[in-house]
Amino acid sequence: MARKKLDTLTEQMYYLLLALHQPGHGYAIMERVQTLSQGRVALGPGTLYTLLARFEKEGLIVLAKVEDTRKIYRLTDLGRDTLEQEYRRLRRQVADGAAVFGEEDRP
Amino acid sequence: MRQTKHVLFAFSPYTYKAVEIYLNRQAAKGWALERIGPFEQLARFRRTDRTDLRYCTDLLPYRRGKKGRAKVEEYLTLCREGGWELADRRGALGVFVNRPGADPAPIQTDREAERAHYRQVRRNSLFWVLLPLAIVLAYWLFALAVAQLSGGTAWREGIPLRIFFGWPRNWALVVWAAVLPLLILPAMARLGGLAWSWVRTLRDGDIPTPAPWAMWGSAVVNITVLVLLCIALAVVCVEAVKQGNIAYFVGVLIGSVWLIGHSLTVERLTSHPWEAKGMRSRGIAFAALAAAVLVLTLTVGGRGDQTGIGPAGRYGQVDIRLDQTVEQEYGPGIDGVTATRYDCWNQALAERVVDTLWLEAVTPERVVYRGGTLISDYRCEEPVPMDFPWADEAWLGDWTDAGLFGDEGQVLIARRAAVVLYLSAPMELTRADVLRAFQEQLEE
Repeated sequence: MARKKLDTLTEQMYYLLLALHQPGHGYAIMERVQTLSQGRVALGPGTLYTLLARFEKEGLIVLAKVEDTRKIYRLTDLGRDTLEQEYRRLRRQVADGAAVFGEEDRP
Repeated sequence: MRQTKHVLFAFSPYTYKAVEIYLNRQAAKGWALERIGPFEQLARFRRTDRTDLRYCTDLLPYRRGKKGRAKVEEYLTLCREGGWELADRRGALGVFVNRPGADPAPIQTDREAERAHYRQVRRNSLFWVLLPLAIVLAYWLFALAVAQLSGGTAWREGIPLRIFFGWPRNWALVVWAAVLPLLILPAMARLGGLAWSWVRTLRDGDIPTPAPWAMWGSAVVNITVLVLLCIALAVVCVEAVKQGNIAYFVGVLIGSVWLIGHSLTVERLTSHPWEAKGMRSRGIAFAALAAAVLVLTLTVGGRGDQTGIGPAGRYGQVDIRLDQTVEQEYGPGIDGVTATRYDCWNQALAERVVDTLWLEAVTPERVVYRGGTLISDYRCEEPVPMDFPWADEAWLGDWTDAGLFGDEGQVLIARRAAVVLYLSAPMELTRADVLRAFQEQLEE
């Protein structure tokens, strides 16, 4: 069965791509996600491994190099576009929410 | 206070979250997992002082080869860096423990991805659960087809039932045919678990966590089936070797070992979602091979007047008439009694036929008609060896029937090489004309 293409990103996927705005290896990605989300989002190693394999297969990331058996990944142009599209989608959602709840309720 | 303990510990891949709950409860009580095993049905725990002990379970790929091992190692490295050390693994189940002082995030943190992962695990489990059921079903369907191809007579004569009740009583086949359906038991237990999991997922929309006692139940079923299968396998092998049928022995051995190993372990080895495609095709190929071996060893081999239950069960049964001179009211005349000759495939089988005939001869039989009339009350003394120069071995016994017709007579069983003759008649069987007829049949 063909794998479903990514239409929207889950929170974990979004933060993973965000963390790869700079090339990094697995452990660094997990740390960056914690920092970027100020501890709100944690990326487990099993989820990270699965998502890295999936993103690599779909061409969102590539293996940049291997250092001491650690694989360092970076975003591809497709990955960067996907991330930016998701960012714009989330912004529109936040703007729509702000229109309903008022300016002061913005996150 | 004891420092170690063993507990029943059998899991199905779709219950891996139940394993996590169980281990964390044990950790709260001060028990740390030392290792899983032996036979993946038990686990050993030891006392620990750690108060921050936490377990997390996940399903790992079961990959061979350098590339496969590298993938697994990459995954384990990520887990290690994320604060989880591999405590033990058996097949697809990986048990991770947190590093002392660390409070790591769970291994799987994307609930949506984990749910998809779980659905795939369940589909893989279902495949492996249905496989033993399909193999047993294939065997009986094949037996039915063979019976139908033989014009239906074999089926009417009850080939499958003949394994149990027919004769010669080949104990290997009896044991094996009786035990084979036991493979269904663990499969049915797991099928029930899968159905439960499916219903709970529909109801709650989340990954269900079965109660830990499901593991103990599963372990009890598995160990019982394993022990019974091993006993059956030993009986089959001993019988096959006795009968000198090496092809039969090898066939049964391969089929049995594969079936036992497969039905109890492979599901746990290969249910990781990444494994699905390759392992399924491999599973189907192996299932076809095992089914073929079983079908060939248990079904094919009978032709014509043979039993049709396998090469070890081949024998021919011929009813023969032994003419004899009898004294009748109006003078001497010719009468006949019917004896049965068994042309067996080999001597070992002929000896089994003798055993069965001997047992049948000494089994008392009492028939009472409605109204209390005693029709038959058959009893036979144990046949004793007697000396027949032309037979390898022979037995003679006296029987009486205190029923309505009040009779008495003798039973004679004789074997020469692979031929057995059986005669039970209301007369003295040591008479020269009867013995001569016997001799002719044995030497034919």
